[in-house]
Amino acid sequence: MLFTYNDITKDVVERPDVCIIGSGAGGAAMADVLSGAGLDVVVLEEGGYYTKDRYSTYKPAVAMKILYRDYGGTIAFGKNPIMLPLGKAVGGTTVINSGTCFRTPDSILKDWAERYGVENASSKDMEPYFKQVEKKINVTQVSPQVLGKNGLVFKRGADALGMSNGMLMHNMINCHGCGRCAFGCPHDAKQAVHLNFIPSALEHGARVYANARAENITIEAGRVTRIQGSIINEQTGNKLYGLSVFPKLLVVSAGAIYTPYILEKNNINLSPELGRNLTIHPAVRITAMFDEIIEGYKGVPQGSYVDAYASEGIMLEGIFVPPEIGLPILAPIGKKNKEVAMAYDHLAAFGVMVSDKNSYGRVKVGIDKRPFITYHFDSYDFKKLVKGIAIASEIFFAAGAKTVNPGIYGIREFTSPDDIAQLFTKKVPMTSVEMMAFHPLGTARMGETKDHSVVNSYGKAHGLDNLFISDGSIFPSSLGVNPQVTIMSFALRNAQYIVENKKALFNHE
Amino acid sequence: MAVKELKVFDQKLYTIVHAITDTIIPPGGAFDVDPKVVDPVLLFDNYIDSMSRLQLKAIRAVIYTIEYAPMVTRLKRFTKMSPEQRLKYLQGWEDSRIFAKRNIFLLIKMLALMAFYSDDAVAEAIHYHPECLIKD
Ligand SMILES: Cc1cc2nc3c(=O)[nH]c(=O)nc-3n(C[C@H](O)[C@H](O)[C@H](O)COP(=O)(O)OP(=O)(O)OC[C@H]3O[C@@H](n4cnc5c(N)ncnc54)[C@H](O)[C@@H]3O)c2cc1C
Repeated sequence: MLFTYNDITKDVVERPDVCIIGSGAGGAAMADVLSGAGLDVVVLEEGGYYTKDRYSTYKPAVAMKILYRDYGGTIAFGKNPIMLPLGKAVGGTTVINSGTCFRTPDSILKDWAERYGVENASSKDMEPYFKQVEKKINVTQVSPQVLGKNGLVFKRGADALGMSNGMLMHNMINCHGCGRCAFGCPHDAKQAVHLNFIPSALEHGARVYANARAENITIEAGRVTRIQGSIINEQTGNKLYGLSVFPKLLVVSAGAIYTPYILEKNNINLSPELGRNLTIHPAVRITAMFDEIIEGYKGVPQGSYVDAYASEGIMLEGIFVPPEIGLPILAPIGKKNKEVAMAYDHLAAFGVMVSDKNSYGRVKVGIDKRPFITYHFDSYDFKKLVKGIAIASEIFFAAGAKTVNPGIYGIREFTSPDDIAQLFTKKVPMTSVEMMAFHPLGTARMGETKDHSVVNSYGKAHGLDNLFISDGSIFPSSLGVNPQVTIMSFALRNAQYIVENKKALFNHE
Repeated sequence: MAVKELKVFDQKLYTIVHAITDTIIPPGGAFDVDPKVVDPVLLFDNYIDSMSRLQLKAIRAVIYTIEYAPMVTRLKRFTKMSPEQRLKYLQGWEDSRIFAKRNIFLLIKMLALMAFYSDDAVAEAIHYHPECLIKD
């Protein structure tokens, strides 16, 4: 059964085998396997329950207000504040993500084994889980019919320069190329987890509470005994009813920002590493003006990629947003804003993302009792970002762009490829680059010792037998690629571990 | 403008925000919308209605800072400036060398423009017709 605040008329009390906090990539996949194995599962999700019937009617800006946390304005503070949008709905951030799918790179899995002692997670070990996830969420390649011109022109430029590129894999069934992945797919073609893992968990008997925020976690005699929270009115945000869950085992899947936050807020200090080691995969958007009509908002916004520099940690992927989201950032105020609005059809955009090699961040409980995120962007990684901007600009000019806007304060536009050299001859201060990030990971990392990690190789908290973490926070380093398939695959693997060890994990007496 | 349609701003804030939005998206130019049909302040106000009390406090604080900060250097409030002076003043925020100032202004600009460009009449005016590539 799925309950929303509308269905609830009194305080909720539950005594399941497993309680999962959060229904995103990590929580939903966990819920499916555990409930499928006959365990009684309750999922608590702070966000509401939405499908195409609701979000297909939302304009993108309205979707940001409803489906994103804090209007998409979550910020990581540092030298330069970085926008770090997060989803808040049944399905978590998968409801508003771009649908791009990558397996965890082999080199990353090897690194985790070597440097962090992560056990039994080689490519070979993970293969069956990758396959299961890809089948469940229907991973296919973006088809040329829905790629759209934004993806095509960039591909054209990369081809002209002989740079390795291709069409991305995404989780879609019958994609119409509506350009709205990040605002709730209007056809539910994008297979976010509220369309697959959650429905099958419900079929297995799981109970999913939407508009249900977990707040307090009680630990007694070294075990989690109770989760308390609130049923919230979706319209007003006010508390309607109380919520108490007494599970045998708790899985925290609130995402890489809210998982360490809720644990720290409850003084569950699993390890000195909790909340640390945040990686975000910093990104910038580069735009270009063409003579030809692009209509970038038609087609898959993230349809193609250039991986020619992936070994250096630089990945280029499509990113296009409709005018109401793009114009506030791209165009200056005054008459010029209106001019750019009228020329929006001629605009193309692409994203550059860099692996955080030396950069790191931290999540703490702020003085306002909300998560406070800091991020130190290292100059070595920043140089990679600037190089990525140069590469994307070069590709746009090779594709026939008239001008390129590198998204850097003080450099409004490049008018010829020669201008790109400025990026290396002039000093580009970190604070001059408008950055964002979409892939927070690492704040409760896996490993085998409590001093260096928060959970073991299967997501079990060090020092607490009935607490697991299953979301982006468990990964020890940046993946260099989009993380949803990795998060879901590890969730399946770790859920299987729980099922196989349930006697020991549940029956502590 | 009927103040009762406002959910967040009061009359005083309405006046300041009106001067701000009129500078960010001035009348005339590449396209125009009928101010009787599209009120950017009302759109802005209604858009931010579900923000937390803390966030709204911060937004009000920024708006008042925009209004009163010029008193220090120009002895004039923002709303008392000519349209040209207002544009120059807000461009000073937008292009400030102090990145915190730039970012604070970006917040107001983003919210105002997100609400404005989401309006159907504005979308029509800029010939923005979103469509899926594959029709049903
Ligand atoms: C705009 C955007 C585009 C993206 N595009 C891609 C892409 O193309 N491919 C890709 O692989 N990745 C993409 N990502 C990232 C990807 O979607 C996330 O990394 C992934 O969904 C994270 O999974 P998770 O389980 O860690 O957390 P989430 O999916 O964020 O789920 C966490 C859930 O926990 C809930 N929660 C938090 N606290 C509580 C509480 N106290 N009580 C109850 N519930 C709570 C939240 O509301 C949320 O629903 C994108 C992200 C964004 C923002």
